[in-house]
This record gives sequence, structure tokens and C-alpha cells, in this order.
Amino acid sequence: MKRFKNITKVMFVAVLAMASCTTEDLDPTLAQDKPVEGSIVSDQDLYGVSKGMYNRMTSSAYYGRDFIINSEVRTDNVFANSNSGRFTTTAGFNYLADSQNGLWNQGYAAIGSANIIIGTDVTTLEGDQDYARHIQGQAYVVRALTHFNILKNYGQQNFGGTEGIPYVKEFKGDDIYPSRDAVSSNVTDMMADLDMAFDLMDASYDDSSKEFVTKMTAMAIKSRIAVYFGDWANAASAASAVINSNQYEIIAAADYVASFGLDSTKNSIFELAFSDTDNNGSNSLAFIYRGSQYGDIECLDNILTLYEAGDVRADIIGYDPAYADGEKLRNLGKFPDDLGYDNVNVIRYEEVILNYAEALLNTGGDAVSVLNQLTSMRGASAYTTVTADDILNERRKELMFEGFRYDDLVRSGKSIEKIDIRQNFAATIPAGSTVLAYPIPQGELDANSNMTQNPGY
Amino acid sequence: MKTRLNAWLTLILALVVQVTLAQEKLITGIVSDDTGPLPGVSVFVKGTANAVETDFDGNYNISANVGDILVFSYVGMDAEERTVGQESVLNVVLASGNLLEEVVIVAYGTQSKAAVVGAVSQIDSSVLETQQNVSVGSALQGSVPGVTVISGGGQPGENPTIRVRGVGSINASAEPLIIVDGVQFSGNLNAISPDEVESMTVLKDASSTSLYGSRAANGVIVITTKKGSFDQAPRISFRATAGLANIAVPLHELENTNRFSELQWEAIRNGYLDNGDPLDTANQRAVDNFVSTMGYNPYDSATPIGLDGKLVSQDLKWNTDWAENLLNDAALRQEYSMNVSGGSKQTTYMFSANYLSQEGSIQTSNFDRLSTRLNITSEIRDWLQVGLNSSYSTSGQNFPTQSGSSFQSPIQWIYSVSSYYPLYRRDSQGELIQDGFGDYIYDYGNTPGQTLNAQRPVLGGENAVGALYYYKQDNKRDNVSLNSFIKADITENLTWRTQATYQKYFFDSYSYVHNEYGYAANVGGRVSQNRDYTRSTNLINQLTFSDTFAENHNVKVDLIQEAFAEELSTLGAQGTGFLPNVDVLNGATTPEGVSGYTAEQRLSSYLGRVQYNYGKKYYLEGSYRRDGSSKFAEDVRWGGFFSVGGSWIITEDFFQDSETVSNLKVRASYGELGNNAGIGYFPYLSLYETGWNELENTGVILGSVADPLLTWEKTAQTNIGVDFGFFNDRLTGSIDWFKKKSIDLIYDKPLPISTGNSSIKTNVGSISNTGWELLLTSVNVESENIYWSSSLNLSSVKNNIDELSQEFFITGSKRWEVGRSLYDFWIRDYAGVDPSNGDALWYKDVLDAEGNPTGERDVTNSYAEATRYYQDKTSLPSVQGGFSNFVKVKNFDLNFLFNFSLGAYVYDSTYAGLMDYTSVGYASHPDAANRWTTPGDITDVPRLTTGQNDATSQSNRFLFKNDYLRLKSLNFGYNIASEGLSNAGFSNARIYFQGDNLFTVQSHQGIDPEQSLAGTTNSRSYPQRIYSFGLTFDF
Repeated sequence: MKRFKNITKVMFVAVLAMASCTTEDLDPTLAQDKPVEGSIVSDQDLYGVSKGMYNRMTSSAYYGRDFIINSEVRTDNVFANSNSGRFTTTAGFNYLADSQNGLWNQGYAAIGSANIIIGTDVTTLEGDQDYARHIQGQAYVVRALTHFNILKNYGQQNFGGTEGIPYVKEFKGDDIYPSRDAVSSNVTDMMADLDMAFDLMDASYDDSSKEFVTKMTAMAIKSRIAVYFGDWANAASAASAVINSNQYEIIAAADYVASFGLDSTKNSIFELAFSDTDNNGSNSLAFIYRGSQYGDIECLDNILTLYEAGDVRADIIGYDPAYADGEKLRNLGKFPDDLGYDNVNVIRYEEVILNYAEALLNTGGDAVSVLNQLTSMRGASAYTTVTADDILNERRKELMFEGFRYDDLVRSGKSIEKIDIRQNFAATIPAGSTVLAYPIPQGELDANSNMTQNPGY
Repeated sequence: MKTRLNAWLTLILALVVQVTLAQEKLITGIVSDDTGPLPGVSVFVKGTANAVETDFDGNYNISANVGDILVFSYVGMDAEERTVGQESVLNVVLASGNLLEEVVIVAYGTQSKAAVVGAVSQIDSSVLETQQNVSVGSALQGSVPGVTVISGGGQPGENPTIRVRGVGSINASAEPLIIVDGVQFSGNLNAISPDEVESMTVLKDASSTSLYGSRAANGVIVITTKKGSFDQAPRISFRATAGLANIAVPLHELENTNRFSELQWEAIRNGYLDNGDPLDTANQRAVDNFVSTMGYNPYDSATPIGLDGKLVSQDLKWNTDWAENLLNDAALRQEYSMNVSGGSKQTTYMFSANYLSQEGSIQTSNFDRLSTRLNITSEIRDWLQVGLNSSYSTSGQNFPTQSGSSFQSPIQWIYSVSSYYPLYRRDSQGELIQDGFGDYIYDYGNTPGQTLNAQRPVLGGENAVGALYYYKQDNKRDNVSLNSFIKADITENLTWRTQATYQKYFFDSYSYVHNEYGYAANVGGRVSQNRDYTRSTNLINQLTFSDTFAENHNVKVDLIQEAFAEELSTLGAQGTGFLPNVDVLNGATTPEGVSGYTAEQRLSSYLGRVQYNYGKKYYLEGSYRRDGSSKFAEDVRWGGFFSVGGSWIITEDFFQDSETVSNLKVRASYGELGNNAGIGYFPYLSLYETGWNELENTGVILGSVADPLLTWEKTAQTNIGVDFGFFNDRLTGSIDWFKKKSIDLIYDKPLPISTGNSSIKTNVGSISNTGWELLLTSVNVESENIYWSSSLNLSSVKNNIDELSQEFFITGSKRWEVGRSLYDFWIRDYAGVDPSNGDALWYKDVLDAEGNPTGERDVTNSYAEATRYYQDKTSLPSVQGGFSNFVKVKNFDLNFLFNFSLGAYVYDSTYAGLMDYTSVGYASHPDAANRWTTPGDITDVPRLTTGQNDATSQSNRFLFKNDYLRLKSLNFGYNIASEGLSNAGFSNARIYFQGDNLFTVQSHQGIDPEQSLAGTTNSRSYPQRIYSFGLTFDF
């Protein structure tokens, strides 16, 4: 009997042990994310990665806000009023070791996404491989454009130096500690990427929303980069390719102000999408340009004097209705949706016209009639002769608040004038000053022994 | 509350009547042990529910029939049985031999205290009962050496930060593992009512924690809930407390409105001077523009301040005391609890129910909790036991912003917005504006269509008082735990135990931002709601063998297999555009987003422990655990963790006849443990993250790159300790020394950002913590009517960085480099004020031609040029501890606990903000009045100006010594011992006063001394000082 009892016990314990000793599976269950290896198998997967790439570009550290504001606030257009303390560091050219890292971080992250797309072997993908190539073309444009944007701010060309930035062509390649390439090498790489993009892309895949890079975007961006580096022949040919495509129109005077509140207009070549469900909230352009919550960016009074009577572009500027009339001069017309739901234009047709005019001026072509195509649509007087300063001035008036002024001043060797006590820098910044380039972010220098700092930091 | 009390009284009365009816004969007597009368001894009539407890003098009285058997039982002593005869007085002496065999809770079981070879500290329910903690973790503060506890501020229900023996991790979690009744707890610690807890044990060294292997590197806190005992008559105890609370330490002083206005005027005037205006012009402009700069005018005159900088009139139209409107200086706290326990020969039970409601230090913040627990054990065969510990707890919390720099943060508001600005909206004449219902409207500082008294330059678009009443932040939590076991004694020496546990934790967080006022007014209000489920299952199979060989060789072996799985499932939604008074997601006109995901982690383990002792003199113990975690890749998934330890009870061999030395024991242990907490679910995989959408299009980006060989953080710990007892254990204590070295720290190692990734999670670096702990307990007086005991504990820990992946990292006010602590301040050195111009000065290194410091120092008024230095000051205290006393005189008893901390420093950025006049309208400290005004002034407060300056930027000007002593708890009670009470069936009744945080002596005023481990402030809400009265009945 005793023995029987013990058998019961042993059986009882054995049953418990069996129940508990099932092998635990310790492999991951990934309900939310996808592992990198073997993830991109179709054109649709590549499309998903491209949306992630565009998402990087809409970040408030990049086209979502800071990239554009940082270019405006270092000029004679606007100043930062310290209401929320934003942008005063950049506006004062008062950089700290790691204060200028937003564009570097987000830019290279966007390049990382582009490189994943570029590095994919299209011939292994399921679905429409031509469409996959079209997406790769978009990635080449984003890679070239983003390197260009980083180079403009961190490269040494602004004060006559030769060092550019690392041109990163591979994601997680062997070169894990990239060093700086020469500015000239950066330019070659950008142009090559844009040409490659133009070859890969097929206009039949272009999206009419303009919220994706189109085939002609590659040419438009090429004209911008060529103008920046004074490569007038390429600037002229790229701009004329865009113009001759007849896909775009200069927006009419009557529609000018309203056009900034509309998406996918006829003058738009490539814009980044924002909406009521996908936006940067209080970190959007609208919040920094207007209102009392942030509203840090105010206009200098002298910009009102730029425009002649009847020029519709002056209607963009006005006094903030949240304050007493005459108190705060603002950008009211660009990115007009106060909640930041407007798309942000990356490149529009009017800039290509201005690029073309400038290229013609420098190559002996008929700049006057090209420039007058624009003025005639703005309620401004026609030019009879055109100088380089006229074109800079026309660019300032047309592209005000869109983040072009700083680059235009720097590339044409102008100093950044202190004309108003409220400007955040203490005195005029002379051309060729080393503060015209940002310091390389401290985080990059700490982690990358191949990286060198810009002079003056 | 009144109805509740009435109900209880009715219940008590009903029981009294019952007891009275059963009365036959009254037996009285005194129960004692060899040291004197014993309180709390259970006396009951065998086989009935009739039971009483002895009072504080060992007296009892119980009614029984002749022939009944009375049982006298007391924890740790042999029970005595007496048959009732004709006598009516029965005095009993219980054998105290077993009292020395004190038992402590250890990993996967219990041990006699003598057998412990590691460092283990235990507090029992008597400590918890004399404090009013919402979270049981707070009870460790000041009572357990080697444990750092930092309060969570003034929001009841927030858990304190707990660190055991320093900080052993940088990036992964440094939180100790919490074990409740043998199982990893996966809910929120605030779900456990301190009332349910029998004991809390802190396992500190490697030998005591190593059985928890990969989760043990940061120490283990083992919580054991109350249970009934076999053959125990039912015991019912009821407790009610009610009290009021205010903030525990005073706020920083604030400058009054009129004085502030004049100082602000001066700063504005100086701003004009800085811009190049001559003095006369600057004065005139400051007079003319003062009101327009400030945006508001609480004075009658349009230019309230004259050219001399003095107010024209002192009369104010408003003068706002923000603190009064934002803080709750009479926060109500009430708690009721009931506990029923007992047992028959086969079954024990314990049922407890507890209700707590407490308001926080910020208006509208509160916490209420209902928790119940039922623990049952049943012996269904003489060799087979089954049991179930079940608990359910539900809590609600209104959680207005408690810290940080968001506009709604109340403490930030008090220290930002000057009393110059009104609480309610004013028209341009300064008159109050009413809405359509005649109510005043909170002033949000952005009234449209009005120029004066409309645009507040400080925190415009918000009103923190309005935020408290218009916004909602409700947290609801439910916690269910079912913890069952079955135990079989296979033979006399061999026991099998299986424990299966299921826990479900539900967290519902809801927030509403008003549709008309505040920061979501432009989108018509916002509701967001998140609901997270955590489900965990845990299975433990344990085979225990114990035997004695050749009389003196005692061996005990445990073999254990354990599996743990935890699943987190989240769902969240957000919407905007609400009609007034509609605050549920259904009312949203614009859905903003929906999110949700599921993640799971698993742990599979095999472990074993061997304990051996020779004649209970020499102890040896070794344990090993092998853990496999789903957090790591296959090749590195499994880790082995072990410990060895031993002890020698010297008094068993020597001092046998000593009158002085009653106990002396040395112990030592070494072990290696792991840590994998706080690093996410699959940190070793590079993943595409979904959810990076562009409009309606699904977008993915590459998450951070990962190290596929990422593995456990490992900690090696050595512990050496001595336990001692003198004068027949009237004075006892222990001293421990430890060294804890953590290697392979999981760290986000920075990558060149130009590669597209900013960091990689990898094993890099090492830190160590070295320290000592001292515990002393003494019985100072022990006589018939007076008993007094004291306990003192001290501990000290030093932190050292042993290895880093790069030369140094700068994180805020610290610079981490090898040889320094994680907590050494590295900031600029303030050099006072330049008497000639009032500029703030800092020190800077004088550099030689190569740019290297020459060792000389110079002063500069340029903050950017100033050098940052190690201050040789750290945010970790050099010594911290607690001092407690228990005094009993006749029927009065007094229990109090001080905790203290010495040698730490705190960087008070709040004070820095109060000294800043760069931006207008910000609240000010009276110290700012000592500012420099004229050349030649000697002061340490620089000139005030609205011009660009760095005077209040981070420097040692705002680094303060942070010593403090706090009366953490005081409990003063009176035991009502009367014949009538006993006759009514009560064994004990006690009325008491309970005070928490009654006073604090601190070296730096204005902030709570417990801020953060890093010694930085964050506008955190102030902890509470609580005064309560309570009543306990046992019957």
C-alpha cells in the first residue's frame, strides 16, 4: 500500500514536470517591425522604404522647418525675436559645439534611406521592375539634393576652402568612418547622381501630386546646383530642359498669394506632403512664422520697400493679426495654414526661370526676356537691362521666406549686412568669414576619427 | 466617509453581541517568555473561532468552558496547550528557544538567519504600519542600509526611484528586480497595498541574488504577502486613518510684485543701455515702454515707473499668488483596511481589503485604490499541499503635469510667471472680464483684439491654473494576479513544488485638452487615450532535497526550472475637434492617429543551489543559473550566472562563556550576475520600423543598426560582512563591505552620423560601485513599564567609471571619463561679478602656444570662452542612512524614523531661473535685489539686463550642498486596555497619530532635497507632509 502511494506521487510529479518542460521558443515574434535581411522582395517594399525616405525629409529638422528657417534667419529678411528662444543661436552665428546638428542628422538619415533603395538589386524584385527603377531614380535625386543641402551649410566653399562633406553612397558599407571629400568631388558626385536619376526614371510613372520626385525634378535640381557653383552651361541646359518640357507654368498674378495655400499647383515641380493627419504640429513652419505661441520669426521693416506698388508678392507680407496692427511684421502668405497642414515646396518652376535667366546672363544669352516672363506675371515693371544684382533681387522677392536668401548672398560673395538692431548677429558678417559654415557636429567628430572640424571652431 | 464608518460600527456591534452571547466563564492571565510579558500572543479555544490576543503587557482574557483546551501560539515559539479547569487565572510561559531561529525570505525559499552567507536586509509589516506609503517601495527609505530611495514627488501613486548598492548600469535599466510571492512582478508597484505585505527583503549581494541570474544585477526586492496559519482562530483587524497634507518643504522665496516691477524696469533700462542708448534716453525709453514691454499694467498710471526707477504708486489692481492657486495645502488622505486571517488543521486563509484615497500636492491631483487579496493554502493529503494567492487591485489617478518645462507644469509656472500677471482675464483698463454666465475667465495671455493686458510675454497661450481644471489626465490601472502552487513531499527528504502564476496589468491613460482654452484650442481640443495590457505567465518547478548525514553534515539541494513570458499589447488613439463638454473620442471631428503593437519577451532558465553546513557553525553555499533570453540572438542567448559564499559563526567556537559577546559571525560571498532589462524586445535585430507614413502611404525606415552579438550586462560582486550581538543581543548589528563591477554595459555607442545612423546598441564600457553598510540595533531600556529600542543604519557607495568606448561623453552637467564617477559635476567656475561693469565672470584656462592649459587661470566675461571644470562635487551622498526609535511607556507607544543624506550636491536650475532677468515678466527671487548697480559695487549678483547675457547660464554659482535630515515618519499611539474592551470581544484597540515628512532640515532651501540621482532639478512637484489620525481594532 505504501509503495502504491509512492507510485501515485511519482506519477503526479511526472505529469507536472511534463507540463512545464515544453521547450520555450526564444526566437522573436515580430508583430510590428520587419527584420532587415530579406525584407525588400517587391517593388511595393521599395515603395515603402521610399515613403520612409520622404518622411525623413519632412522632419522639422529638415524641410519641415529648420532647414528653411535657418537659411532665412541668417539674412536681411527676418530675425528671431526670442519669443520661445528658437533660432537665436543660428541667427546670431553663435554656434556651439553641437548646436547645428539637425540637418546633419536628418540629412544623412534620409541619405541612408536613399542608399538602401539604391543598393537594392532591382532584377531580383517581384512586380514591376521598371517602376522599381523609377523609385531608385527618386532616391538618386534625394541623395544628390540632400548632400547639396548639407554641403551648402557645412562645406568650406563658403569661405574659399576646399573640404566638402562625406558623400555617402552605400548604406552600412565598409567605409564606416567616412572622411570629408573635396567640394569639387561632391559636385561631381551630385551631378552624376542626377544624371543617373534622369536615366533611370520613366516619366509615365510620375505622380501628378508632385509629392514624389519626378523625372523632370532631376533636371530642375541640377539647374539649382549648377547655379550655386556657377556652372552656367549646365545650369542653362538643365533649366531649358525643364522649361521645354512644357509641364509647368508660372503662376498668374491673380493666383499668386492663393497658390501657396494649394497643393500640387501648376508651378510646382516637387513638394513634400503635409496634411491634417500628417504634420509637424507646433514644430511646423506656420507656428514659427506666425502667432504668439512661437511666432519667433519676424520680418525686418526694410523688406516692405523691396516691392514696387502693384507687385503681388508684397501681399505675402503683413502685420500679424494676433498682435496690435503695426507691431509684428510677418510672413502671412507662405505656408499660410496656421496648423502647418500645407505642403512644403522643394522646387518650383519660378526658381527654374530665375536659374535660367542667371545662367543666360553669365553665358551671354537673353536674360532680359526670360526674367520679364516672371515680372510680367507679378505686376512688376519689366526690365530693359539686367545685372547680376537684379537677378539676386528678383530671387529675393520671389523666393522670400522659402530659404534661398542666405545661399544667394553667400554664393555671390556678398556680406550679410547688419541693417537693423533686431538682427541677431552683432555686426555685418563679411564675405569669406568662417562662420558662414556651420561647425561639424560634435557627435560626428567624437565618433569618427576621420572627420575634421571646420576652421574657427 | 461618515456612512462608511457607521457601517463598520454596526458590523462591530453585531459581532460584540455574538461574542457576548457565547460567554460562559472568563479566564485571564499573562503570557510571557523568559525575557518578560509577550504582546500579540494568539490565545484561542481549540476547535472554535473564539480567540483573543495578548495586549502589550501580555494580558489576555477569554471566555471558555471548563474542559476546553486553550492554545497559546506565537510566531517562532512553541505553542502551549492548557485545559481549562476551575481556576480563572492561567499564566503561561512560552519556550523562547525557537525565537533565535529567525527566518528570512531568500531567493526561491526561506533560510534561517544564521544560515545566510550574503547580504540580506528585511523589513516586516511593523515598519510598513508606521508609515503612510502609497507605494511599498518608499518604506525601504531610511530602514534598509545600501538602498537609495528618491521620492517620486507630490503625485500620490508615483513609485520612488530605488537603487540597490549604487547605479550599476548606464543605458539598460538600473531598477532592482521585484519579486512578489516568488514571482517576477510585472504590474505597477503602486498596485500593492502596504497593508497586504508581511515582509520586504532586499537581496543585495551576489550569493543572495544569483538564483535570479540574468535579472539580478541591480539587486532584488522580495515582497511576501500575509498568510494565515494552521490551527489559528480567526483574527480580524480593522484600521482607519484620515488626515491632511501640505507640501513638505517651503518653496523658494519669490520677490513681491512692486519690488519686481522696479527691478524689471532696471533690467529693461539696462537693455537699452546695452543697445547703445545714452543713459537719459534709456531711462526715458524704459519709462515710456515699460507697460508695452510687459504687456500688462496692474497699476493706475500709464507709466507706473518714473525716471528714477521707482514706482509712482504702490497700489496694485491684482497681485497673483500662483502657488496658492496651484498647490493643495489641505490635501485629504483617508485609508481603511480590513484583514481577516486564520486557519484550520488543513487550510489557512488570509483575506485583506484596503481602500486608499489621497490628494496630491498639486490641486486636482489624486490617487485612489481599492485592493483585495485572498491567500489560501490547503493540505489535501498529508504529503500534498495546494495554495492560491490571488489579488486584484484597481486604481485611478488624476495626473496633472508633475514636472518638466511644459507650459502646464505647475511648479515651472510658479517659478516662471511673475505675480505681476493676473490669474483672470482683465480688460485694457485692468477690470475683470466675465463670461456670459458671470464667471471670471482664466487669462491665457493671448486675448485677441485687445492690446493692453492681453499678450503675456511669459508662457503665452497657457494658464496653469486653467490647465488643472480644464485639462484631464486620468490614469486607470487594474492588476490581477493569480499565483498558485502545488507541493508534494515525495519522501521525507525530497519535496517537489510547482508554482504557476498569471498576471494581467491593464493601464488606461486618458488625456483631454480643452476645446476652447489652451494649447489645443486652435484644433478644437484634443483627446488621446492609450490602453496597454501586460500579460505574464510564469512557471517554476522546484525539487528540494535536504538531509543530515553523520549527525553534523546538513545538506540542502534545490533544482529548479523556470519559464517566464511577458506580452505587451498596446492600443492608442487620438482625435481633435470637440464640441464643448464632449471629451470622448467619439466626439472627435478629426481623428489624428491610431497606434498599437504587440511585443513579447521570454526567459527560460535552469538553476540549482547547494547549501551545506557543519553543525550549524560553518556554512557553505553555491548556486548556478542558466538563462536563455529572447532579447538576444541565438549564439549569445544563453548566459550562466553563479555565486559562492560561506560563513562562520565564531561564537559557536569561541566566546562561549563571554558575557559581552553573544553573537559573532563572518560571511563572504562572490558571484556574477546579469542584466537585460530596459533595452527593448529585440535589440539585436536591425529592423525596418513601420509607422513612418507619408499621408496615407505606409512608409518604413531603418531603425537603428544593431549588434547581432549583443548580450547580457554582467556584474561581479564581492561582499564581506560581519554580524554581531553583544550583551545577550541587547546590541546587535552588522557591517558589510562590497565591490560591484559591471562590465559589458549595454550602451548606445555613437556612430558617425554621416553613415545615416547615430548609434549602435552594443556591449561597451564598465563601471564599478564600492561601498560599505552599517546597521546597529539596540534595546536601550527594557523594564516592566518602559521599553525603548533604537536602530541606526549608514551606508556609503562610490561610483567609478572603469572603461568607455571613447575618451569622454558629456551629458548635461556631467562629463563621463575613466576614473570619474557618473555623477561628478563638470561645469563652469563662476568667478563673481566684475565690480567695474557688473558683468558675470567665469574662470578660464590660460593656454600656451600649442593651445594646452598652462595651469594658470584667468577670468572672462565671455561664457563661451570659460572653461568647464570638475568641481570635485558629486550628486551622490557620501553617507546616507536612517535612525529609528521605538519607545513604549505603559499604554503609550512612539515610533519615529529620521532619514538623512550628507555630502551630495544639487544643481538648482530653478533658482538660476529666478535670478534671470534676460526675458521680461519672469518670476524672481529676492536675492536678485543684491544685483550690481553702480561701478565699485561688490556683490555676487551680476547686473540685471534684458540684453543678451549668460549670467545665469550653468555654472557652479547654482551648485549647492544638499545635506538633509528628515523626520520621515512619526507614529504616536495609545493602546486602550480596558476590561470593557475585552469583554466586548476586542483583543486590542489603538488610537494613534501618524505624521510623515513632518520636518526637514536642509542645507539648501527652496526645493525638496530628494531631486534626482543626477542632482539636477526638473520643476518637480513637492512631496507631501501628512498629518493623520488613525484607529485600529483587533478582534
